[in-house]
Amino acid sequence: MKFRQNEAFRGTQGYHLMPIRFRRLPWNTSRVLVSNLAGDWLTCAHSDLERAVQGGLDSKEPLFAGFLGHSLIATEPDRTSFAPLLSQMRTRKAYLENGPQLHIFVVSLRCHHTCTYCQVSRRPVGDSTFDMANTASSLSVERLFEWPSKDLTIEFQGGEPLLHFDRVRSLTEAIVRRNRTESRNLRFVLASTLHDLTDDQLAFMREHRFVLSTSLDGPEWLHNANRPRPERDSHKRTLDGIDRGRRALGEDAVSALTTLTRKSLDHPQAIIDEYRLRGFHTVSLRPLSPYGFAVKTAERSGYPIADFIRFYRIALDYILSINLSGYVLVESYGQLLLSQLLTPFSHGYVDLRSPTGAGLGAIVYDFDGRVYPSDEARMLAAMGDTSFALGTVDQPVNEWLSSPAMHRVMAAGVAESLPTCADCAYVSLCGADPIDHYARQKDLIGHRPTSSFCARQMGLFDLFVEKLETGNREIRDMLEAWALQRPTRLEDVA
Amino acid sequence: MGTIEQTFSLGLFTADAITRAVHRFGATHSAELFHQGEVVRVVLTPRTEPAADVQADLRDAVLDESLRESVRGQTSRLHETLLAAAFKDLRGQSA
Repeated sequence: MKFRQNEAFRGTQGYHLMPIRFRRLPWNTSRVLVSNLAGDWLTCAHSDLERAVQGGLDSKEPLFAGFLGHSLIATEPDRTSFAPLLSQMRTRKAYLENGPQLHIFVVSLRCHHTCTYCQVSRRPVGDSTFDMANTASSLSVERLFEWPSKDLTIEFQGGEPLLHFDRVRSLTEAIVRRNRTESRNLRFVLASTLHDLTDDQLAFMREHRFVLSTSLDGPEWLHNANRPRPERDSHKRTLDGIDRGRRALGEDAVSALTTLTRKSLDHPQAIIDEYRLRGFHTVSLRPLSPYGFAVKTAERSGYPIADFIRFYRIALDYILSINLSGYVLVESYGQLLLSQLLTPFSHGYVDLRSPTGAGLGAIVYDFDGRVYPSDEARMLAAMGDTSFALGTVDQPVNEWLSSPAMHRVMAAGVAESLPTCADCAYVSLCGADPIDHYARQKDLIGHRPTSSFCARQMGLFDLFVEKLETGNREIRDMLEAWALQRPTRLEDVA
Repeated sequence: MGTIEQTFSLGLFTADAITRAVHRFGATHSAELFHQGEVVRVVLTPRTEPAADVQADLRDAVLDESLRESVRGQTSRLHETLLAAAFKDLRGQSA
């Protein structure tokens, strides 16, 4: 057998441009990040990108191989398989396949706190008219099992769900009973202050392998300032609840997250130190949302998103230094973004999806039997705008999906079709949040240049790309390790 | 104070590319565009304090939008084909 000459095995020298997006790197605008339809990316000089777009790359140069390997260009279309790229695109959007996994049950609006940033219309502790009634409860369980997802996360929220624990108990038992014939994988979460937990409640939650999510805003003086109780001991009670929750349910069964007020932004190290002191290995640094009491107190507690990004940069550097000292501590939202930057995998966080996670990734069953596509939609209703209510629990779920509210959400729910998002290099990794844009800008599509949602995501993506590009080997290895861990943030994760 | 003006030749850049670029400054500047023969004159007025290098940033933004136009021109059909191919079998179970 005789082989043909070398030239017969070389492809043509030319190439075709693939659909790409790009963004100048803010810390070096002569360089760009270039991404493909699946979110795979590389960085290069802007001049090299120009050459690539104009057909000027030479097949012998290393950049050609880089562009080819990342599906930014393609050689002979009749001999090119797009299968790897298509597979990555489907993998990235795998969350679309099974319907909502996160189901939030608001068992009561009663609460003993008066948090300045409260996103809920809280009600006094003794006012049981804002508890979920039997009818709403039983119908909610019926609706839950109409959804097709094999994996269901049932999250109990309030107000303070411990103030109506009988409902938490009855719902859990009804769901478990029904699941004997449904055979879904159930996960129960309680989002609570953890104040005044009883042994009986803990025993029940241990039986059903609950995980607990609570708020810890920082050291005592900051936490109590953000989350006042008449007794002024919110921090102490929270720590007590965390401790008891860990002893009853396991060390890893309790997670905490911060809500950052303006006061918080001046103290990143103190907040991180508190989490380390209390033995947490995950911290979630969450900016304020424009709902509920947070709107009324915005002047006192609010801040521009640029201030949050500045805070986050300092906090991240401090967290990384703590990790380098030997203590594992991961910032959970950063971990999510890194998993998007460095892997093709789908994720469970409903607020960063395209198509939007509202109604497609999460459903909220309110105490009064109304149903919403997201917690934010419920909060808008509590503020007087019920236009995002999907329906009520006595309707089948297909009526919710065909409701005017759902149509409105979906019309602005695909980031790849929204102005400016459509051209963004991060769009495959990012999401659409029409309800957030409606809440802040009174427009479901929103104005990107002034969008806080956009500024937050792009600011953080840029920050992590900068760390990956300019950080030393230790930092890059650490961030890659974060990306490959399963996200441990509980809130809004199905 | 801080207002900048920049003209762009319609022989080099399309009106669409210029408009898209100017849109990106909407958070920090109010914009006026004047179509004058074969050029478009852009006037950006800062909403608060003047920022450094706005003129250079605007030129970069117009260049980038022109580049994006070129990408779209070369790849829009393939873009649609790939999206259809990637998701044609996506069938959720009915609720």
